[in-house]
Amino acid sequence: MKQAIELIINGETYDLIVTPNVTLQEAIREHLGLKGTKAGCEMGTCGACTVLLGDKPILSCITLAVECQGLEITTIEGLSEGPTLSNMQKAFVRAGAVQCGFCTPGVILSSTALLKKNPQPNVNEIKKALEGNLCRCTGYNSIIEAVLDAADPSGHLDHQQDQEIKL
Amino acid sequence: MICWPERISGGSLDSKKMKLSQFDHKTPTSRKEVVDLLTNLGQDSAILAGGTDLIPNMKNGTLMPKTLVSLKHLTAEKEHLTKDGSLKLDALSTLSQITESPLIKEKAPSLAQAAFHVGGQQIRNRATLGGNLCQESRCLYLNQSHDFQFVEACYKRAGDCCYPFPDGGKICRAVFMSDMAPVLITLGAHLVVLGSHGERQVDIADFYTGDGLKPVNLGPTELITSVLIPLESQKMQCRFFKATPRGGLEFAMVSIAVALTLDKNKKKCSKAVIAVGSINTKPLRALEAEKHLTGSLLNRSDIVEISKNAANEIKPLPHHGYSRGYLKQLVEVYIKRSLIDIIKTVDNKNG
Ligand SMILES: Cc1cc2nc3c(=O)[nH]c(=O)nc-3n(C[C@H](O)[C@H](O)[C@H](O)COP(=O)(O)OP(=O)(O)OC[C@H]3O[C@@H](n4cnc5c(N)ncnc54)[C@H](O)[C@@H]3O)c2cc1C
Ligand code: SF4
Ligand code: FES
Ligand code: FES
Repeated sequence: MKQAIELIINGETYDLIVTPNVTLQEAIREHLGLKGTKAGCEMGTCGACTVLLGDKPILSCITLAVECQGLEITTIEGLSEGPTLSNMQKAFVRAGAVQCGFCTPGVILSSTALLKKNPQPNVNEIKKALEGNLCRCTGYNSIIEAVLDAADPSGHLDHQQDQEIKL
Repeated sequence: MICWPERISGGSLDSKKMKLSQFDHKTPTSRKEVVDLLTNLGQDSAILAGGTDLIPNMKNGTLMPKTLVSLKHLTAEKEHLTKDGSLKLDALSTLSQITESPLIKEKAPSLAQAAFHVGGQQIRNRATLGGNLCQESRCLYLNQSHDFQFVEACYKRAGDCCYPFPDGGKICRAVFMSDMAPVLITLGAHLVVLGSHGERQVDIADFYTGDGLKPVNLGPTELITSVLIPLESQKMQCRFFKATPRGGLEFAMVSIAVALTLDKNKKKCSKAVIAVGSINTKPLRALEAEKHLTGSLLNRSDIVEISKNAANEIKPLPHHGYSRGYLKQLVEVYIKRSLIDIIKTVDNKNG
């Protein structure tokens, strides 16, 4: 049966009428036309569909739209202000951390959430935070450089590889 | 007859293949109401918690419930110590909450470790403890998108064959791959279950059936409400190790949970529990190794032999391309690492 739901996406409230089998990904891409949220595996294994629910990255392809009634969601379109990119987006441009760009919205959202929780992550913490975002182009090194750069543009942090992950 | 699906035989690419079919969605506001709904709706309904297991399984056609009973309007109780000192976790706690909770990290550190190693952070942010313990078992044939699947349904999908074990007998040997279950087994946890008959407590050791067709001992109207970890387990030396090929966003090749009760100074072990996950249709115990450890003084040379013996007694099902022999080796290596890690900690404390 169809249900009326309200989604708060990038600060704007949208009223939608959906059946329960519509995923958040379909609602965002097909009902609202925001195509920055990608459709990759659609089975929860690649991270291309990552959006933020509150502050937390989640996978929109395995989340039902009706489960998000009334909740605040941020997609990649919500990070920039007009033509001005967010710090994380700028760092990705500087580091050349984008090739085909398919994984990029998800990676940038996961990285943005990481820095909000842990403003100065070490390399292993970045890898851990991005374990659910697959990139088939960049080999990840440039992505890690971008996140380190966003965390510390002056480059003063110790970027050693063998730092432990603090639980 | 086995026929190849369209995509492999050169048919059209259909991007709608991953669409969920229609179902009803209920949002009860109390646990009692969940049970009432499940009772009225019967077999065709399923509980929806984080959905990170259920939704992919609905997309690939393994499960096709007509109604989802969503837990989203229930509030999770914060983890706390009960009067008798047990650590009580709400089944609705997300795995992220479990990795971040100072109380859980203090009282049940191996559980926090296991949660930290499930999926990726996007999964852990939604995935719940209850859903993890009741997840579907997995098999290379079962959990594929329908395009890659053999068209003839296997036993698990109500058909009449099994691809990896074609020996008949309607036996499904899909592997149970929860990372949280083996840890809770080593901690002697109890599950609090609410059903139409009222509340019951189940020792998690009795919760897994070993039947691939119905891996958990849970009635159709039942809901896990919380998990209790007894006081004495909170004092054990416990470890969790997970072997994966990529090191992230992955189900385990095997996962190992160990918990030992030690007399600190003498390194004497008075109780040992070793559980292995992702190895068979249910988590397995290394009982001989436990017996060997109990009452003995921990030392490195014994541990080499204990780990070897544990690998001997554990019977793996080859799964996801890993052979029995390889899985046995992993069991040996990871049990050894867990025990050596415990010895190191004790040495540091003593020294
Ligand atoms: C890419 C990916 C990687 C994954 N990696 C891992 C991994 O490494 N380790 C691992 O263990 N799991 C893994 N999972 C599986 C799954 O994400 C987790 O097991 C998760 O904890 C399931 O919780 P959930 O709340 O999302 O469950 P749901 O999907 O909501 O439910 C799962 C099942 O449990 C039932 N259920 C849910 N809550 C209750 C309850 N309170 N009482 C009774 N029944 C209930 C549901 O009806 C359903 O049958 C992975 C999944 C994906 C998609
Ligand atoms: S092991 Fe179970 S799930 Fe796998 S093919 Fe056989 S019957 Fe199906
Ligand atoms: S599209 Fe959602 S995880 Fe791949
Ligand atoms: S840039 Fe192509 S997948 Fe990451």
